[in-house]
Amino acid sequence: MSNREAWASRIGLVLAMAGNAVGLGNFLRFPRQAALNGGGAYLIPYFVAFLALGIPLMWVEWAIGRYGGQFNQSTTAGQFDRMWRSGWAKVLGSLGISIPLLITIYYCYLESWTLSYTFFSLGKTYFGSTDQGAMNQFLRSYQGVVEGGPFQSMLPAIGFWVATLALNLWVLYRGISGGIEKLAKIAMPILVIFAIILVVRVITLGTPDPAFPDRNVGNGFGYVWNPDFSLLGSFPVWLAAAGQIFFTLSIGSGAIQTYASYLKKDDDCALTGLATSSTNEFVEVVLGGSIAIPIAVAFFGLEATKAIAAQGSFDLGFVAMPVIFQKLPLGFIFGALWFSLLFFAGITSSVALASPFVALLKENLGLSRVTAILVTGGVLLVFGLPIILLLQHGYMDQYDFWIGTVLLVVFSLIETLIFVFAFKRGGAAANSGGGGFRGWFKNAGVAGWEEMNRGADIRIPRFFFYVIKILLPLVLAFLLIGWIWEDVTSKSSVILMRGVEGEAAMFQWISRGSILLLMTGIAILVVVAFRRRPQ
Amino acid sequence: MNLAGWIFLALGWSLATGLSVFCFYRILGKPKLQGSEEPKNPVIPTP
Repeated sequence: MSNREAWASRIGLVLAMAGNAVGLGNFLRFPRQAALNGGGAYLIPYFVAFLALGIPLMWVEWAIGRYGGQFNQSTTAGQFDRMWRSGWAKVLGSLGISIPLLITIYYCYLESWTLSYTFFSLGKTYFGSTDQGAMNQFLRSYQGVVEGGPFQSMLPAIGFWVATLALNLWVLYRGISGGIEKLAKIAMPILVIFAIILVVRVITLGTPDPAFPDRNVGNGFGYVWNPDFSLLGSFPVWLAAAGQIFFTLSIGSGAIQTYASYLKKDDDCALTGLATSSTNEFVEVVLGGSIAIPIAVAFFGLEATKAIAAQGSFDLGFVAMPVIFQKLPLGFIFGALWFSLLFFAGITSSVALASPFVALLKENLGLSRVTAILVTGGVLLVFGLPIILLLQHGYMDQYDFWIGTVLLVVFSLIETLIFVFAFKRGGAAANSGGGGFRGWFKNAGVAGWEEMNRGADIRIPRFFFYVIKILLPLVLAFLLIGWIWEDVTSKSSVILMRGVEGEAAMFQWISRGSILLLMTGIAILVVVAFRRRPQ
Repeated sequence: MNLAGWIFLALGWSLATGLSVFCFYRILGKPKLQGSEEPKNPVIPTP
């Protein structure tokens, strides 16, 4: 009998998976992307990408995870090994452990900003920094990027980061149903309630300053939703929409497979997977699109908001929003609601991202729960500290680009190819296509399709079989080439480290080295685990 | 916001909300993880 952990309820599973998907990007990245890429017209490539890329890949990941779970394999290393009998399978699968762990390393630092700003809002710490310049100085001072300002040292930033790590580790220590599922059942409803309160506050703002009648909420929503069809022919807009779907659904990291591995053999994947995706879309499109940008237009006007949006998501969330909260009655409460909802969105994602590594330590390497959590905490501390201390040198930018952009797509492509072309369970279906290339191609994807549909509470339209088999690998390859091309042709290329010199270049190379070190280390751990303990 | 903006907002909100409502309606009809139960839908035949 297996004594593996399991989900206690279906709703808990849906909320935990949705919590994995819903993150800071739903509230900060989506509205900015929509406003910059054609407003309402952006929804056309966005929903096309959701259908052609997001949903199929989500189903693929759920099916991989549930299949591996039958053999007590919680990580993609063991899952790929069961799907594809090749020495490469577990090595490639180790990416599904190292990628989410690397994301956790820098994501927990961003998450700690939201925790600290919740307390800064309640304590009115940033009140007095009434314009964007002053608030920018507040943030940079907190990060230790500039000398002076309200923070004399980096101790507050490090303290909140350690507290964030401790909270994450505590949830992970409590396990799947006792920790992660309970967190999701509390955090997700709170997140939605806080977001609805903020949306209602935004909608009822009207025109905050009658001296500037153009600065109103209607124009704010107009900036997000008024369609600019001329941008529909633009390749970068389609690339941006595909990228947003990728990030928002948290696909390509390996975390979904670990969560899904705790399902039973005939538990539904199709409807539950769709439910998590649609919950994420509700939070993103309905709630995420209705807070930051509309309120920024209402207070700063359209042109200033365009400038803020162009600067990046974090300036919108951590510079512009606190300035606005200072202008609102009871702003400290709305500030606390905003940053705590971001924190809940963050922590439900980071525990998911750390769970494949914890599963590797516990289930494949046989460590006790306490030891596994301590080792995870040690890795997060050792690899996370340089991210905090070397932020101004672009140390984190390397993580964000290589892990958060390139490797997510690389891993998605690998898992899709294995799922479609390498996964065979034998039986009639797998052998009905005859010999040669034609027969091989005809059989490709059949085992995966059957696995995906087993126990399904909804019938997945057959059209998705062809989407997964043919379209998905092509789209992913195209996306990878597109993003690399976009980077190397930009003035601030991360790959070519354009404009990075001296000390910053050295630190960025160290950052790349640390990524490689961790990936190699985990690949070695996986090989050792599988040799020591026959899986 | 112009009329086209309102139309796209309505479309986006309806799609996102409608899909969520549909999924949760179906899930609440069968809230437990089954595991050993026979699947509702048989395996889809090879396309």
